[in-house]
Amino acid sequence: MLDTIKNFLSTTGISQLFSQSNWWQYLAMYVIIGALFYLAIVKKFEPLLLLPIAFGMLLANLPGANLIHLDFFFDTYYINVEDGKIIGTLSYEMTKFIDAVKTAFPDINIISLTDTGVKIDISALTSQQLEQFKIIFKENLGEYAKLTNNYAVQIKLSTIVREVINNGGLVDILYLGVKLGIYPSLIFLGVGAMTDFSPLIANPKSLLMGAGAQLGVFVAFFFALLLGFSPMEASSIGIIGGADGPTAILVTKTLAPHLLGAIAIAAYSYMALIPIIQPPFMRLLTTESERKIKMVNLRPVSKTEKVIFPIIVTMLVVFIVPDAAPLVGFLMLGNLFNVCGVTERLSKTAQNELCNIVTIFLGVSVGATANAENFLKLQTIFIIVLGLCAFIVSTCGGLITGKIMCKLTGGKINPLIGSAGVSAVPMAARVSQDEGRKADPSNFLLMHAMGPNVAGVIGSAVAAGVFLSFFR
Amino acid sequence: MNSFLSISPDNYGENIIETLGFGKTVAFGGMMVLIGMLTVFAVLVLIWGCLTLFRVLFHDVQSKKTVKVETEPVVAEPVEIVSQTDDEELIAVISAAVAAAESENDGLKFRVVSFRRL
Repeated sequence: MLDTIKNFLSTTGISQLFSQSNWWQYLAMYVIIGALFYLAIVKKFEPLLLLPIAFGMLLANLPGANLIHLDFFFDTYYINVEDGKIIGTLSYEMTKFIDAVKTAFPDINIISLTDTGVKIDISALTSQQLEQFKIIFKENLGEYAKLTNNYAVQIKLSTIVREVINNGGLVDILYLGVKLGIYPSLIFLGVGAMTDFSPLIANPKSLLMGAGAQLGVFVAFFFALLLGFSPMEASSIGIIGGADGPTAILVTKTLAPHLLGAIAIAAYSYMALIPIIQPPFMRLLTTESERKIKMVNLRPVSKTEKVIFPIIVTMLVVFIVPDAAPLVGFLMLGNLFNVCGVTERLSKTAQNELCNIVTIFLGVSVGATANAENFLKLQTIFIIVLGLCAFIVSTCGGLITGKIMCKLTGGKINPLIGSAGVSAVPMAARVSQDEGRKADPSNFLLMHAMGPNVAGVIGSAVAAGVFLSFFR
Repeated sequence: MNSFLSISPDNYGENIIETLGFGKTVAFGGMMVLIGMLTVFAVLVLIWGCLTLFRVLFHDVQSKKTVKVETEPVVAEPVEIVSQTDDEELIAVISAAVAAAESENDGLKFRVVSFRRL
């Protein structure tokens, strides 16, 4: 009887929590999760995303729940090296492959085991030997893995999906939507259906402010490199400055999936904090008289322009930056549903049910990646600081572009609308409106600020495409 | 992709400041800032060019064709006296409604003659 009670007690979450050496990290995580709940529920900061993210984090940090197995999504789960031995679920296949290579090329040292994994060096092979090497790889590991252009072993997505379906739980399956890049595109479909590009079409000059406001993305990338992050990690950190959650998630899941939790939380938290972060810099970089500038009414936009716009933008962007296709393509498809006038049902579904369902899946699964071991690290603090710098520099980039345009147009453009170029629709545009009204209560900048605001969405998707095309 | 500024793709997943040194990292990062910003500006400037063409092709031509139509005057009703804050909110709402109506009516001209509080 006593043994039964003891066994039961040892299976409880409390027992498992305090049996771990890092139990204090879990307690610290509960404090952070509590703060996120407070921001979402009481302060109403981006509650639609912060709430599921915070709950996902809670689920991931309850010992014994085992709702997500992040290992499944990393190559090291399948092939890894520990104390000079190959371990992981594909260790048998990898060993077989190494033996076959040694037999085929007894005099050449192609494969070595290092602390970071199995290292392949093909520099000593002739082109004919290289072809033979590839055949050996295909025969032994081809079903599960592939060779990258740099001859690194990369686990195939089909292997990961198989593992998740065979051994994973609900959150693992939901996380596949992030891993496969499905959710960010579907969210962009909904965003596109909800976005009115008329202010941008009516005042295309505002595109420049959307471009200027991407400065923070690249500046944060630069400083992340100097702080010791790899170019792939630095890209994921920099993209926080784009103030676009789905874009940040798409880049991070592709280039630095181990940072996903920290980057998603930083991106959404800063987006929610835009009304606090931006105004001091808006006032610092503009004069009272500039803030009082009233802009002339925008011209009306015809339906033909609205319908052709998403088609042309998709073609233009994807022709130049093909890697931006999953974001820009779906953003513009959603917008086309909305403006064409013949797909009202599709537009409503994209805006409401689909977007809401995907938001729940995305929030919970991204939150679940932030467990105590992954999240409570020095690099998370760097990410949060660099993310904030990216936001501030992006805001300043948009404002400076706005100021230049103000001078060039002889004072016809209020530079305050430049800060809306950081994306974060429509929060950043509202901040421009509020600051304009503080300077002159009869000044209404909302519609004008929507131009750079939606231009920022396109700009950040292009910036993401640049990183993906360089580092993927 | 081949090596870029003597940084090979093998280094993209590594701490390059440790392996390649400060100078090369600064050069690499600076070049990325330049290339990234130029690409973003280039793409958005191209879209700007297209939108300027839109104006010439679709808006200016249609504006010439459009016959000026004005809506029937609505009987004006006395407007309640409201606070300054409400006024500001009201003006913002009306401006947004007018902009939306303008964009939805394919360049159709109209004149707002009265507002009625419901």
